[in-house]
Amino acid sequence: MRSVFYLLDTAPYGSEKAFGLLNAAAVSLGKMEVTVGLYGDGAYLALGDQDSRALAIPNLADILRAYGEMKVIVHEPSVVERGLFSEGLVETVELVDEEAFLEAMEGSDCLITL
Amino acid sequence: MPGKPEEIKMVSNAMANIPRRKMMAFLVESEKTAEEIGEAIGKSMLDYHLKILQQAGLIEMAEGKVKLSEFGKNFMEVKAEKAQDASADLSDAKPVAITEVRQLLPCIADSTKFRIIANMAPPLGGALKALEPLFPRGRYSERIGALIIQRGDVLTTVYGTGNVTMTMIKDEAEARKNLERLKETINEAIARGVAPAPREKVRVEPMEIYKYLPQTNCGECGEQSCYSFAIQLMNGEVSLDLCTPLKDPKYRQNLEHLQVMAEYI
Amino acid sequence: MKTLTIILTDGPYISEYAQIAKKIAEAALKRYQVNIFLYLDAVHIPRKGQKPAFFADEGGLFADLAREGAVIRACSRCAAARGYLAEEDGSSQDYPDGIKITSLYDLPVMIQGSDGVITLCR
Repeated sequence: MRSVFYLLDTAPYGSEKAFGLLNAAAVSLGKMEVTVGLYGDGAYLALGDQDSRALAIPNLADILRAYGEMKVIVHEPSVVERGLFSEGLVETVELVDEEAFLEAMEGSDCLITL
Repeated sequence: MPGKPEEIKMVSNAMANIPRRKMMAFLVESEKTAEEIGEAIGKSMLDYHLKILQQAGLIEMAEGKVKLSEFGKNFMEVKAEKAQDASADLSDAKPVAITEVRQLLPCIADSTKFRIIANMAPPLGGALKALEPLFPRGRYSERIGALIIQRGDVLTTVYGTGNVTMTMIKDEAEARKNLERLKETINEAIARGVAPAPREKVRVEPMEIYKYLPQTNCGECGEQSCYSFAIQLMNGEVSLDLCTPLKDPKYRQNLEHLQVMAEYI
Repeated sequence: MKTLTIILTDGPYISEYAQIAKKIAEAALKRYQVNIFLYLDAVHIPRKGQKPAFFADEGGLFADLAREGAVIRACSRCAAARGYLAEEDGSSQDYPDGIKITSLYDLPVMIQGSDGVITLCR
């Protein structure tokens, strides 16, 4: 496998999935071509102004910023459906439409969803 | 006319998409029909993208014609000016302060080192681009709106929004020292009010990449030597994963450093 | 020989994935190299001494696979978080022989060297 697509479709907090997925994506950087795709409730991870201090969980938006070299795409209809289109997003994310999201998934050698 | 914070964010999100940026650039020439836009940029999801641009107030649609709104025209003009004359931006920039050091994350490759995230206020926005020449190994990335600075092993990314990240940091004290130095360099330039004249950039040299390669000259990548591999890497002709010895856990730290450099070449 | 990697994230019993993974791995082992990476709650699966009243012991399932040649690795961060301690060589008193607690770095290495990757998770 030369490329891997990590798909997150659950909300960033409330389970370990998003944190686990970001860690797996980060350790894959440089070994393979890595794309993180945020879909459905995963779109919440793209929000720029997260504050997780009360949860005693690392701020996941900051993890995206700390790995500025990681390619992160967000399914834009998921953002719009959740009323998040007028919110500030993490600087490194790219909004993509339905077809471009699918293309990125299909274009990767393997798909991992946690 | 967008003015409220959420409307401004809507415009920025509308422009955070490659096909829509192309559509806006295409419409700067003149008004077009939807078919013409489809021909030039691609028919996929065309109506959807036009609707988003319309909702953000960037375009107007009537009788099958699509054109930039007054706001859209203005937006594209300001954008073009900024791209052309970066130095003008600095006159509006205010001195910055480090407001917080939020998080220390272990560097994946070397668990004794950290990636830190801090905040610098007020945000520098597009003025960051004008600051690029201040740093011998600095590069402004339009894609993420950030100035990326390399200094020794430490890679600093200053985002236009005020967030700052640093890799390969020993501890919080070192982070604060580096941030303080960064702040002073930036504030000196802001106090002078004009951006430093763009000067000859110090390029990433193949030698520097070579330094982090295993230097085995094993030839498994298909190149004659590690040095020629470094040159090919600079030229974008090869990718790091072709280097087999680098996969050895003992080169983990080298690999992380090379990855970051490769992403930013 | 081709290689298959299976990634699990669920604990035992909460879903059927441990059993499904076992069946897939067993069939695949006849022809392929098989890797299994235990991530998040899946680090509970191989725990020794499970005594479910109504189900098959899923810790036992994976002990067989390790004996049959599957490479089974658990994420050390997830394991430590859930109270599993690794010895110097990655083995653990809590796990059957052959199943090791190693770093998350093994995951991309497994994926990179695979011809097929299956993720089983809810």
